[in-house]
Amino acid sequence: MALPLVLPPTVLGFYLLIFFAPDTALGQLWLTLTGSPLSFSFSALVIGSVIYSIPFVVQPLQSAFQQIPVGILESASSLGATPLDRFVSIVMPMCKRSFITAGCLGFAHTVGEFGVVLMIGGNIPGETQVLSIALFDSVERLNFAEAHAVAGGLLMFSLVVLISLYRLNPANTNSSWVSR
Amino acid sequence: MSLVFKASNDMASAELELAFKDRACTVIFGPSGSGKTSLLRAIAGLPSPLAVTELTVNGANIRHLAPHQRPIVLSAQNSALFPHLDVQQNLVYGLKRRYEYTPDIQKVVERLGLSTLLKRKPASLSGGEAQRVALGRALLSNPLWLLLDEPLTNLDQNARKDIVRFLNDWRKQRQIGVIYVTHDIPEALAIADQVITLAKGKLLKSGDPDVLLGYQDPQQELSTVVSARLSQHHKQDKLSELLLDGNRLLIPEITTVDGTKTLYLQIAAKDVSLALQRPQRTSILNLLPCTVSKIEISREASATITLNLGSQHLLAKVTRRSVRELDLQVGQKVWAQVKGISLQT
Repeated sequence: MALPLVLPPTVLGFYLLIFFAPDTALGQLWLTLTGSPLSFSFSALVIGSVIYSIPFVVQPLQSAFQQIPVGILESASSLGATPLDRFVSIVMPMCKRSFITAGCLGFAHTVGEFGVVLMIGGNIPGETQVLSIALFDSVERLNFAEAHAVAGGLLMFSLVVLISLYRLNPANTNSSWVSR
Repeated sequence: MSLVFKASNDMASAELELAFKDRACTVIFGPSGSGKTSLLRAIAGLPSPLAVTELTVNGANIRHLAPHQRPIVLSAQNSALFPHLDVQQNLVYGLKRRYEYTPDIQKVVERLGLSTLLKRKPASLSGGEAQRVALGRALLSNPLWLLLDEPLTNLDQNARKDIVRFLNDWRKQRQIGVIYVTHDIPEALAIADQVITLAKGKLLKSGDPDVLLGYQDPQQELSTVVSARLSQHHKQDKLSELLLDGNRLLIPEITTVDGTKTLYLQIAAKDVSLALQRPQRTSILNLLPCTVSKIEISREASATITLNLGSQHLLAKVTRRSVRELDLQVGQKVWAQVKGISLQT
């Protein structure tokens, strides 16, 4: 689960590309089910990004779950709550902020992704081209006006995400997963 | 028709085997570390050092059921209220998940004094308030068996008496079994139909509340429990007269007891003093003729004297100096003096 944290994104992208190819079992299955190949598709981007961003979602959630006193869950179970009921009625509301935090982090992290999506998406405009790659393209074409627009937009977006995270979790601003 | 519990225990090599009477209140007594909480947790199906080998309710084996499937609700000592829900939502949490019935929420709220707290969050409650909410939540979940782990420790004496009375009404009306852990002898005596005493995970005694006669919790102040019968009231003096093995005992007036019922009284050893002759013209109302059966001299200034009074016994805590000056001996006849005002049921 923590491997995507240390693995270079291009390496992860490379293996996913191999794995998604039409001659693999997964590629075959996808082709039969949907009628189009998985590699260089938007769906492949989504799957790759989920794998790449999972640690950023799991970590804040895990630490929040661990902070729930066992006695509270035991008392709920003794009062008749099934395990699923306990998760919905106790764990989820008690960890509401962490769910939002995790969602924001995961989303922001995915928006900034470059290596994985370039590898498995192939930068097809209108289909698998994402903002961070579009920025790279603009700079390569020396179209700085367009680059400024994209970069400025992403900067504003990141600031908004960070500010809302700090507002939600004032006590957690120094914790390791935000600085990552 | 009862709850039968058997477990093997790492602490004590012997097997623990207990039977709880149906629709009765069983009080579990014992010093800290004697396994009271472990026992309740094992019955409720929560992790516990006791390895349960048999657990049946009315003959049905429930040992393999998860806690939420058992007809048992445990209210833990630390209240464990749900912090994200207000008092009202906490109260009805179990109600929505347990058995179909029409509960009298209003009655529970009133009798436990919760009406002004309903919209508050648990974090803003005092320890005593949280305990009352936890008790209400457990009552409203309407189990067949209710397990209460020291539910009233943070409440004052008067509130305890009120709530114990309510709990007695409630359990009789609902016909539920209660297993009740407490350190407090008066509280235990007020509610118990059956008493079980534990020490180091082993069963010491099991039986009716007489088991508590002479019981001494090593962590509490030295005292004894005696049984007595109510004989009459002295309205003018606001006193009630009891008969303790034929001896007259006056205590502050008690109201709620019918004439035939046996009463249990806790008498603190420090409230008992001794005289060699029957004292004359004393303010102390209760003079009991006793025989010294044991003298224990402590390392400090005090000595503990065990006294036989008919078939029962009393403890008196006096100074070593008094033992020497009165020349107390085992077998000697003495008068025990007990201040009437210090006694309570």
